Amino acid sequence: MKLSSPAALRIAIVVGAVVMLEVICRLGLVKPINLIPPSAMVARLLDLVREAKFWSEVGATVHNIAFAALAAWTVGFCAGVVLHGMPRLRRVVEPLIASYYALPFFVFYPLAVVMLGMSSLPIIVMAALFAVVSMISSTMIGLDRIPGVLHKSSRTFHLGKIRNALLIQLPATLPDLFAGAKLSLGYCISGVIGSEFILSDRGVGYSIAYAYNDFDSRTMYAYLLFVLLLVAIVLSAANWLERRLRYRIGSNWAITPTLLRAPKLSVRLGETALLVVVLLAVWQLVFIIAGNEAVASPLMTAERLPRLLSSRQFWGHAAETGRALGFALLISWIGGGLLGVVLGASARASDVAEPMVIALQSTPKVTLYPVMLLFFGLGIAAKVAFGVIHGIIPMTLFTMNAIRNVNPALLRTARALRLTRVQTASTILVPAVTPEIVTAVRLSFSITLLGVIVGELFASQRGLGFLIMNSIALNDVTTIMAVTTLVVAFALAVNATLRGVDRRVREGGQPQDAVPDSMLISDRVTT
Amino acid sequence: MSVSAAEPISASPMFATVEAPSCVAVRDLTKTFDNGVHALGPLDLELRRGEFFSIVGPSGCGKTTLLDIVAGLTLPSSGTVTFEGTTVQGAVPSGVGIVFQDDASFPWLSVWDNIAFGLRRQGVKGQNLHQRVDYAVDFMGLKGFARARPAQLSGGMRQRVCIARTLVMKPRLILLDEPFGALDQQTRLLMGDELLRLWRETGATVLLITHSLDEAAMLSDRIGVMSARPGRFIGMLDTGWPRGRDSRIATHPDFGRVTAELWERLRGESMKAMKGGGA
Repeated sequence: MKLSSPAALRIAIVVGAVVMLEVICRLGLVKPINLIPPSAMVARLLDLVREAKFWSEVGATVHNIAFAALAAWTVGFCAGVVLHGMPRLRRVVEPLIASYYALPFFVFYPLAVVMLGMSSLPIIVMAALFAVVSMISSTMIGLDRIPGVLHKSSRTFHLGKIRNALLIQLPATLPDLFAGAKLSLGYCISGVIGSEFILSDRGVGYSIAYAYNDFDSRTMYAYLLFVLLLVAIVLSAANWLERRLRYRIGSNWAITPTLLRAPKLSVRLGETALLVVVLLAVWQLVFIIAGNEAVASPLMTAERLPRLLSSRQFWGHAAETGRALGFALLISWIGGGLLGVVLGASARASDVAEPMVIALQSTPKVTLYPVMLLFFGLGIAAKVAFGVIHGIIPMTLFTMNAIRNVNPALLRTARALRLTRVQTASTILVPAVTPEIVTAVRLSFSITLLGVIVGELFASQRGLGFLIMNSIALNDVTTIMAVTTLVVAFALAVNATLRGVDRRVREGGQPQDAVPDSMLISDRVTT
Repeated sequence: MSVSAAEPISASPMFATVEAPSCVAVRDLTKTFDNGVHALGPLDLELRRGEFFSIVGPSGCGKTTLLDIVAGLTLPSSGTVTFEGTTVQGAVPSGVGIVFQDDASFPWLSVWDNIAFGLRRQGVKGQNLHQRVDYAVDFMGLKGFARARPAQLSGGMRQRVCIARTLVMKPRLILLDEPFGALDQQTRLLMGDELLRLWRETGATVLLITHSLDEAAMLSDRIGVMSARPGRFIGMLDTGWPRGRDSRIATHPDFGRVTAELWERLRGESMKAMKGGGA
């Protein structure tokens, strides 16, 4: 490896950052309660790995991740195959799939605990539900990607349906299935550790939260280091395998979704209404099975909504969440956008930065929340910071790619037309990167909202997340459901609006336009 | 208008056409798609056993649709197709091999396994399998790449893999849908030579769809010219080239006249297609 190669520079940056942290801590520039030197984290981790309790906590977390991943892979694969084979059903559920990762998912976790009890089960169920959609999307992408000519070839060899599935479709979709499995695994790790953080009595997430509450920074950082190492090892191995599969399979196959022609507005509205009715029916069914101690019915929730919306207390919490979200979005959009422009403008800088940004994106950021609390306290600043660490990464990544992928022929055309730099920027660069930036704004909105709400769920004194946790403490199931419904409705409404804008700016033949949003999300971004 | 109404544009005085029994017979064929587009016909076509027949026509005239119907990959709206006297309907008849324009190699299999794919499905194994695949690998100039994956090969080599995978099954009818469309001119000429060599050695009937008038003129015994959509045959050209020809036939004094006559018939149709958005 050359000393000036991107990989060597990345190693130098990481080593430099670690050394700088060590120096800052050793010089006493940061309080030991807030941050300890990396060497002390390693020393404490080496102590911990000798303790049986540590491995018991790790075992519990790994057990939950393994079961959640297995469930997500199996259900996601089967659902993806079914949806691919039924284009009309796919069209009906596509908006739900596309908006899935716009939901502040962890708001459902307290409900799962109420319904399933304080055990591993709600953690596994939540993590699997969190991860399953990325597996569904990847399965559909894989099947969409198989070129028609391979189906024709299959017929020339007189393969039956089963042989075609085993000998053509399965190997052809393998890279996408693997990518989906990897994404799902990332979601499962985030889901399990995040759930253990919020409400649990076992696991790595619980241990980090316990150490934080016990003011034991050394142990907390040792666990954090362990999580980072675990994620780095698992994802590096998965990436290595994925690269090998990509080499073998036709990675240049285009995605051609088997979507039906756009239906009439009345049909579209009818399908959406049907989807809403089915979701309400499922909710009612859950209510009938679980009982009103665990979950409120749709009707009970609807009755609570007016009272909630007319209470000053609710709007106080909503304003707090709104303020935190607003600040976090501003910082994510402006900061991530500027950072993306700087990195994208230099091919070398983006070559060095891209794998690091992607690695940061794959890290379960939930584990970093105690660090935010240590630095920013229980006020709004911690929530903003937590929202920002979620939202800034996709914004940076998408902006960087948008700048880097501007067609060089367009820039040569600008030179041929003797445009000034300002003219080139305003007439060529800005229109070329706008669609990708709008997608970045949309995705980072969803993820920032998720970050702010999770921050409020974990440790906060105000905000909608706090209101949910407070209602759990008071066993007020109806308020939990009502607040959760409002948060979900807000997330879906904003996402739908931003999707509309996204679609509008992409009109005019952008290649991504043919790709459903769910695929776009799972292709590029993990939470 | 049907093929029977189409007159031969020319017949070379130098070479006699070999009369042989029918291999494929297409009668009163039409195809209208679900969206109402009338793509083909009515048309008739008869392929003689062992001949090399090419179809040229403007873009969107239904050439590939016709080939898909002959292959049994698409059902006609009306009319019949028979292969060696048996009606073709919704399934690829045994004895028919197809090479597509797009790369249809299986990227997860090695070159050798790609070529062996169809034989294995037929239950061929052991020494027989190895002999036939090794011969095909050698014959197609893929020796030294047998263990390579398609991603490691050039476009031309990948297409040779697909041709080998089809020919190793010893088809009696080979359907080629612009198999050299994605290749550069030199590679196309060399691949054409290889195809002619294979055709001579196997004695199979070949139906080639191509955009290239030179390619059709160089390779074919007969050439069918199709009209703009809905595609019908508006002419048949009997080249009369000798069976032992190769790409050097392009230097023959009659070669330019053949392509010129093809273009003469096709020019108006191509303009129609272009004005209609087809080209």
